[in-house]
Order: sequence, then C-alpha cells, then structure tokens
Amino acid sequence: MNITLNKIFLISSLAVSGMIGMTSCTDYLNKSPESDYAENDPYKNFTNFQGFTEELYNCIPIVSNSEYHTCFNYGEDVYWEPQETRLQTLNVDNGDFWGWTTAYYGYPRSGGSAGTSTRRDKGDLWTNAWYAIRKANLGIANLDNMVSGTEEERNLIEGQLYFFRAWFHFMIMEWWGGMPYIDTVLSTDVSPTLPRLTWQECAEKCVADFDKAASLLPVDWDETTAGKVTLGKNNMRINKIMALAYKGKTLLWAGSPLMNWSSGGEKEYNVELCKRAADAFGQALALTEQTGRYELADFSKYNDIFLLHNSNGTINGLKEAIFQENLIDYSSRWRWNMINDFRPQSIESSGIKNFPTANYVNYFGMQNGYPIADMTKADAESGYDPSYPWKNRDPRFYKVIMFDGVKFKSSGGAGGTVELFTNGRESEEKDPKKGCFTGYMNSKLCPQLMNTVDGYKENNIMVLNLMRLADVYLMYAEATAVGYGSPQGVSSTYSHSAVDAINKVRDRAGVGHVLDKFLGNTSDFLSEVRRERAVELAFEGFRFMDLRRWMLLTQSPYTKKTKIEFDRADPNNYNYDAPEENQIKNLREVVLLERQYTDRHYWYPLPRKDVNIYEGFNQNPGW
Amino acid sequence: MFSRLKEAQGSVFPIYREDWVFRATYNYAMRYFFEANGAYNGSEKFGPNYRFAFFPSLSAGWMISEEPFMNFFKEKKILDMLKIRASWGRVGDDSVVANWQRFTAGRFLYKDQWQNTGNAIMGTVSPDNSPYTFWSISTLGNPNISWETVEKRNLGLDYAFFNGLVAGSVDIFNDTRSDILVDGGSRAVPSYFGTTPPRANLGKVNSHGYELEMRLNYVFANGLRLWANGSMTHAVNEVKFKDDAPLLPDYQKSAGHTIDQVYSYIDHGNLATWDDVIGSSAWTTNNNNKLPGDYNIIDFNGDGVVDTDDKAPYQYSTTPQNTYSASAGFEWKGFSLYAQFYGVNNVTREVNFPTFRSTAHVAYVEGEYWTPDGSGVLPTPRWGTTVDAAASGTRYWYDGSYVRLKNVELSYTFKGEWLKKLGVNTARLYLNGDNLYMWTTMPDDRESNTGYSSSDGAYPTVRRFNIGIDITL
Repeated sequence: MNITLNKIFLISSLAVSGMIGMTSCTDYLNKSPESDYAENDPYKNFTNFQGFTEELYNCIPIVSNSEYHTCFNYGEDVYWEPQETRLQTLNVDNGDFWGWTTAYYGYPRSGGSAGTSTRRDKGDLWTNAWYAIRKANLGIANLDNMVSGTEEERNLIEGQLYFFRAWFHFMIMEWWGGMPYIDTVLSTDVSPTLPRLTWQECAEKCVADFDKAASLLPVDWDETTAGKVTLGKNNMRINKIMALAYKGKTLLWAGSPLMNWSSGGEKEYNVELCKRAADAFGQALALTEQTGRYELADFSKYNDIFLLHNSNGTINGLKEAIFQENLIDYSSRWRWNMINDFRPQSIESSGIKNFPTANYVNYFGMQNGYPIADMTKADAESGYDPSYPWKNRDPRFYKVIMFDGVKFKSSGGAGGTVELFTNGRESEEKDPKKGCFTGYMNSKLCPQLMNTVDGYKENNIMVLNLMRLADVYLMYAEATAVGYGSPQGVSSTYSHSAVDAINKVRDRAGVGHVLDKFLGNTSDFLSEVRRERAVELAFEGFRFMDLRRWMLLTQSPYTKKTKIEFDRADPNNYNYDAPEENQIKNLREVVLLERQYTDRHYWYPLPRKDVNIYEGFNQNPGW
Repeated sequence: MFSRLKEAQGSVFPIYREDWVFRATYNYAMRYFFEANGAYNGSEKFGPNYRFAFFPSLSAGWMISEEPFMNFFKEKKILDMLKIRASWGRVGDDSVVANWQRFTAGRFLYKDQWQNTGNAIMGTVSPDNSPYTFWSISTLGNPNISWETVEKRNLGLDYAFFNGLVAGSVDIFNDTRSDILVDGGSRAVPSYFGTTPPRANLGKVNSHGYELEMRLNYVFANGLRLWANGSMTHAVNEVKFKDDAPLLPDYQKSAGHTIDQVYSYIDHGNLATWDDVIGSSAWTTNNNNKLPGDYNIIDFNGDGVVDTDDKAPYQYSTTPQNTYSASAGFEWKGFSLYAQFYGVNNVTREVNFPTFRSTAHVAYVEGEYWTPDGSGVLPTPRWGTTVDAAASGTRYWYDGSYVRLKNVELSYTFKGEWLKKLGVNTARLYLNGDNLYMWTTMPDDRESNTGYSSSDGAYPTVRRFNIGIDITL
C-alpha cells in the first residue's frame, strides 16, 4: 500500500511541476504567423483598401432578377399570373407582407447570405445591407491604417465608405422604416440594444454621411489619378453627383407624407425637408449639366436605357444611368429566365407571365400633354377617343407598351401582330392561365420582337437603373414644388423651376408641356408629377415606394388592377401596319383584383427574431 | 503524461493540441477501489487566456461481496457479486464541427479570419472583374470563447446472484452540459450587427436517466440451457439556456424543451361548412384553396393568421426517451433457438405519405376522407392546387413507439466422427429471420426518419429470412 501511495505522490508532483514550467505551452498553440495576414494588410495602401471597399459594391442588390422569375413591381402597375403561388407579388396582393420572408420569387427576399458573389444571394437586401454597413464602419474605423496613399486616394476611399454607409441604411429604410443608425463597428462582446430612430432622424444621419461623401468624391473617376488604373470602367464607382442625388432622394422621402407621419408628423409633406431636398437635387443637376457627366438619352435610343440586345457586352443605360443594380451574371441572367415572362404562352411557351395592368397604362396620356380622365369616354379637349384609344398617345406609350395589333414578329401581318382583343389569339379568353390577362404587354423590359424567329430572346442585357437622370429631374420637380411652394418655384442651387424640370423630361419624349390648368398651385401640379413618374419610370421598381410615400397605396383607385376587353370593329379590313388607326368597339375596363389594405401595409414587417430580442427594436405597426 | 499533437492535412495549416493527463488508481484487497484522473487540455481554438482548462474526474467503488461479513451468502451460493460504484467528473469539449470538417472550419474561434478573394464587376462595356481584390472577414472571432464542459455524475450497482442465475447492473446518471458553444446564427443578436456573430459559450442542457440490465441463465441437469437478457435505458434532457430571443413566448423558445422537440401546427377538428372556412384563421399562403373538410388549424398565438409562430411543442422529441431490448433462448444437444426484441417509447415521428403530392399519380391508403355528413376526418386530397404548410396539422406526426421482433434464429450444430471424415471441423445449420414483426400505431415500418422524410423516399425496413450452413474446415 505504501508503494501505491508513493506512486500517486510522484505522478502528482510530476504533473504539478509540468504545469508550473508550462509558459511555453500557450505559445505552442498560437496561430502560426505565416497563416495570418498582418494587422493592417487590408488597409495599408490604396490597392488593398480599395479592394476592401469594393466589396460594398458587391453588396448592392440585384433587384430585377436575383432569381429566374423575380417580381419587383408591387404597385398597381403589373399583374403576375395569380395561380402561380411562389411569387411575392401574390403575397403583396393578398396583404401578406411577410411574403418577403416566405415567398420563393421576389425582391427583396430573405435567406441569402452576404459576402458571396452568388446572384441569388443578391436579392437579400436586408442581409447584404447590414453586412455592408458593418464593413463601411470597419473601414472608417481603420482610415488611419492607410499608411501609404495620396490625399486623393484617401478621399476616394473615405468618400465611398461614407456614401455606402448612408446608402445601405436608406435602402433598408425604404422597405422597413426608421432603423438604428449604425455608425460604429458593433462589439462582439455584448449584444447591442440600440433603439429604432424615426425615419426623419435616421434620414438626417444619412444626409450627413452623403454630405461628407459629396465633399470628398470627384464627379468622374476617369479624371482622377487613382482612377486611371481603371480608366473607362469607372462608371459605377461612387461620385459626387450620386452622393448629392441620393442626399436629395433621402430628404425628399423624409419629407414625404408617409415618412413625415411615421416620424410623428401629419400625413402630409414636410415643406422644410422638401426644400432641402430641392437644394440637393439642384446641386446635383447643376453639376451634371455643367460637366456633362450624365445626359438624358436621345428619344430614338429610349429603350436602350433599359435593355440592350446583341450589344456585345455593352450595358444598357447610356449616359442617363446614374446608379445601377449589381452586375453579377449581367450577360446571361435576363435570358435565364425573365425574358420569357412578358409574353403570353402563344408567343413564348415558357415563363411565369406578367403584364402591365390596364389601369396603369391609362397614366400614359396624350401626346399633347393631356391626361386621360376615363378611358371608356371620349374627351374633346384632349382628343382621346375610346374607338381609337391608342391614337396620338404619349410617344413613350409606343416604346414601352404593346397593344392590340402591334407587331411581335418582324414579319407582321395577321400572324405576326398580337391579337389582344377579347378572344384574340393572345388573349386571356383563349388561354386563361398564360394568356395576356390585362390586354397590354411590356416592351420596356422585353424587346418587342421577342420570339424564337427574330432571335431577340438571346443576348439581352437588362440592368435595372436604381437612379437615372430623368428620375432626378422628376424628384427635383416634386421637391421644389413643395419646398418652394409653387410649380414655378426654383431652388437656390439651380436655375430651373419645378415645371421646367418636368418639361425637360417631356421634351425628350416629344410630349406636350404640363398644361396651364395644372400650374395654378402645388397640389394640382403634384397630380401631374405623380403621373409623370408613373409614365417615365414605369415598371422600373419605383411605383410601390411612390404609392407608399404618398400614402396612396391603401386608397382607391390605387388598390385596383384592371384589364381591358374590346372587339375589333372591322376585323376583315384590319390595317396591320398602323394598329392604332384601327377602330375598336365595346371597350370596357374590368377589375381583376382589389387589394384590401390598411395602414399596416405601408411598411414591410421586420424579421420576427429581431423584434423579440429587446423592447427598443419594435415591430412595424400592425405586424 | 504529456502529449502534443500536430495533425496536418494537405496544404492546410496543421492542427495543434496539447494535453496533460494524469491518472492514479488505488485498490485495497479487491474491496475498495478509487481512481482519480485529471486532464489539462489546451486547444488552438481558444485565445491565450482561455486556452487551457483542467478536467478532473473521480470514481470510487466498494465490492461488498468481498467483505468478510458476506462470506455466509457466498458460501451458500446466494450471492456471487455485489458492487456499488460512484463517479463524478468534468469533461471538456472543443469539437464545434464534425470531425471530417476539422481542418477547414471551427478553428481559431477567438480570432477574426480574413480572406483576400473576390472582385466587384465593374464597367459599361463588357464589365469584368475590377483589379481590386476584396479583403473581408470571413469569420468573426470571439476573444472570450473557451471550453464547453460536461459535468457527469453516475451511481451504479453491479450484481450477480444464485451462482450465475441472475446478474446485471443498475446505473443512474445526471449530466450537466454547460458553456455550450452556440453557433452564431442561433444567438439572439439583431440583424444590424451586420454579420454572423461569433460562436459563444451560451448553452446549457441538463440530462438525466437510468439504465437497467438483467441477465438470467440456467442450465438443467440434462444439459438444457435457458437464458434471457433484458435491458432498458431511460434518458431525458432539457435545454436550460440557448440564447433564445428573450421576448419570444415560452413555447417558441428552446429553453424549457427537450433537444429536437417536435413542433407542429395544431388542428382541432374539421371545418364543417363554408361558414367555418370563411370564419377560420387565415393561412398565410393559399388561403383561397381552403375547403370544407380541411382541418381547423389553431391560431396558437391568437394573432389572426396561421403562420410559423403557431407551431407549438407537440408530444415528444424525435429521439426516444426509453429504449428496451430483450432476448431469450435455449441451447440443447446441438439445437439452439433465440429471439430478440427491441422497443422504444415516448417518441414522436413524422410519417408523411401525401396522396397526389405535386400532381403525382400516387395515392396512399390514408383512411376515410371527410364528407359533409361528418364521416371521416381526413381532408380532401388536392391535385393541382396547393394548400398551406399548416394545413396538415398534426396529421403526419405519430406516436413513434414500437416493439419489434428483431431477430429469431434456430440452429443445429452437427458433431461426430463422420464430420471429421469429410474433413470438416464443425458445421452449423441455421434458419433465421430479421425484422419479423412490429407492434406500433405508425402506418408503416420505417424505424428511422433520419435523413429523409418518408415521403421523400426513406427506405422501409427490410424483412429478411436466411437459411444457411456454417462450415469450418
């Protein structure tokens, strides 16, 4: 027994002495230095720090088609085939705004991850934006670690970081409302419990960051020394005009009725914020016109702003595009498979179908500048005639909308023009599920001659413009009319009035100027601003946000989606070369869907997990 | 004993471990046993201040049957052996990923992991990779991360009586697993944190239970041997903490429930009329496909819609609380027969055979469908239309208890000189069968639902008969 005890003692003392003399053991387990990057590697020079920063561009969402069939127009503008249950637009129509977390197809969606270069992940705005904001903060916190670099290089980096911090907050705020404004790298130690800010509080923080970015960034990277490395490929890199225009957009949104109400004010515009928005837009427009950095595209190339066919890799947008969605898979993604979704099954056999609603097409007024009051009634003043409803319309109508009798094949004639009349070949009556169930088709996001014969199905590039110059003119018009109190108002930073700005967009399209009867006061003028945005920016993903911020989403007629039904008056003597010259009869507008919305439908719900962590991060009302 | 482990694979930086262990045992006259173990373990996964931890364990035993005062029972062949055991110990765990992933994931948990890869796509004509390569943090580190520990307590009894007729053991255990390394994605950290938070020592699970085992064995004077073995295990666990979002209602939290607790939409009868259909809580999808005869799905949290929040804890977990095993047999003059049973209870399983799913030309015998006169309870199967995920309620969840006749074998072993002449040492002729019968309320014999749900092709258990002869030369 003694022997055993001694053994115990011996072993124990060995163990103890081992522990005492063990300082080196911790070192043995240290991560070997060659397996790690040095502390300031990501930041030490322009090449590295710009690489760090450019992941923020990779966090820009793909709005239009992160998935094969992506719905992103949730206003009263587009109707997708209702029997298809995987589309978020169905959830939205049904008032189930949880759709963004449950539906398979749609933007924004959840379930993606940030930090990848996968197309599908780029539909997850929520995840990518918060990731990008963290990254921007990390970059800002490490600006001092850029040990070598010129003043210009430092400004470029810093300007981009501040821009993106604001921009991603803004992108989230559009859908989910005011958030905590994250301007530090949140610690890993303690789970943060920051309170939600009101929309306007949050917007002010964005504006400060956009201001800082605008003060640091150039108008054109091609003109800088650092930008010479990427000469000719700098168009997407953030510049001063982008920062100013997004500053204006943030302020205009903050001053819009919804955001004003959500921030504790009345359900009406906030004049002061709109005035500041007008000044920011004015600055952006003055700088644009002075430098020629961006230009309204010529009307003959209007469709090239949105989509290019056989362009040998050239991106759509021309010099009008200011800020575009993520380019991942840009050359193939529209072909797979969205291009199929805009034509009925009689023209394109595959695809989940969507068509412009008739109620929305009605916003396209007459070429002389008159709106259409009731599409079933003749109007001597405007010249609208329901027997010839597609005659003398706004020239943009013919560019972006296909109506009965329009060519879908270059051959034309009876077999190559669409039959959208009731019981026509392309009609819903002929094919209840995949026929054209509204009476109109979209030629903005899909070439008019998209069919297997003419080959327009292949080689399409459609990159959505998240901001383009025409949009900035229209936002300037809205902000200035409200902020400076009249359609003739002019911001302190620009030489043109609100009405001038709209007319610039109309002049490009060859549409008559805003009529005098809308120029008496801001309220009348705003009805034409709204119509102009509907027409100029149709199907580009703006309408839902516009209806929400104007607080019109829950009001009739903005809750309705309609189709038209009609017959050709003289089918045997049909003029296939000029479809608008053919008489039609029995034109009527039929309601397809009426949404049942309440005030809760002004915001998307926040993820359930987030709102269950602490009291200050509350759910949006009604969810 | 001291060991340093370096494990390398391909071009990956080697894994380092460092362990110090000691062990001391003592036994006195085969009556009193004592053992102490200690491990001082270091893992490269944790930061310098949290890297090493000490994990001791102690056990003691008392062989009562060797005490002099038990001699009477031993001599009378009443008692063969009786021993009481007790042990306590702490064990550390740093294995946050499956073993095969150990080189590529879950390493250096205390450090941020950087990567330098990927490019933005830029340009207006044939856009391509920007020359600036991304720098990004692929995994965020937690400088305070450390060992996960289990504190194990065990009390046991081994026994044998009546000259081998009865023998067995009883064990009672109680484990507390704490500082469990909770995956960042499961932590209650708001989205605006901006990335997956790091793993942290944030979980706690208690488990306890017992194991019983008994063996019977009797040889008659004529050589007939009868034997039977039986065992039972009972184990339950409860999550004490798992960083659930604090404001969640209790039924949605992991804490307070067992690991793998089954959650289900709860149904309450059928919707008998169109009035019932219209008046029922809305599904979030395909509500317009709801028909009379569908289950009335309970809006568990009363918010007006039936959504994933309305899934509630239902029955047990998918792991049985109790498992039973029993076998019995005899051997006599070369003949032998044995049968083996296996059973579980307190378990819930999904057995999902949906008729016409996704317009498939497959129908199952499901039972009686609902009719307006009230006969039958099963909702009408759908062909082209889809119903909400909630629509099936608890329909496909079954009490997973069963008893299975797992194995029966009858055999005869030949002996004799004639074998030798054939050059054969031994020969055994046998007939046996696997999975011969199962007693259960489940509709189908699929013992395990792991991997796939049964509708996705989980393979049914095979019943097999073998007849054969074993020959050794």
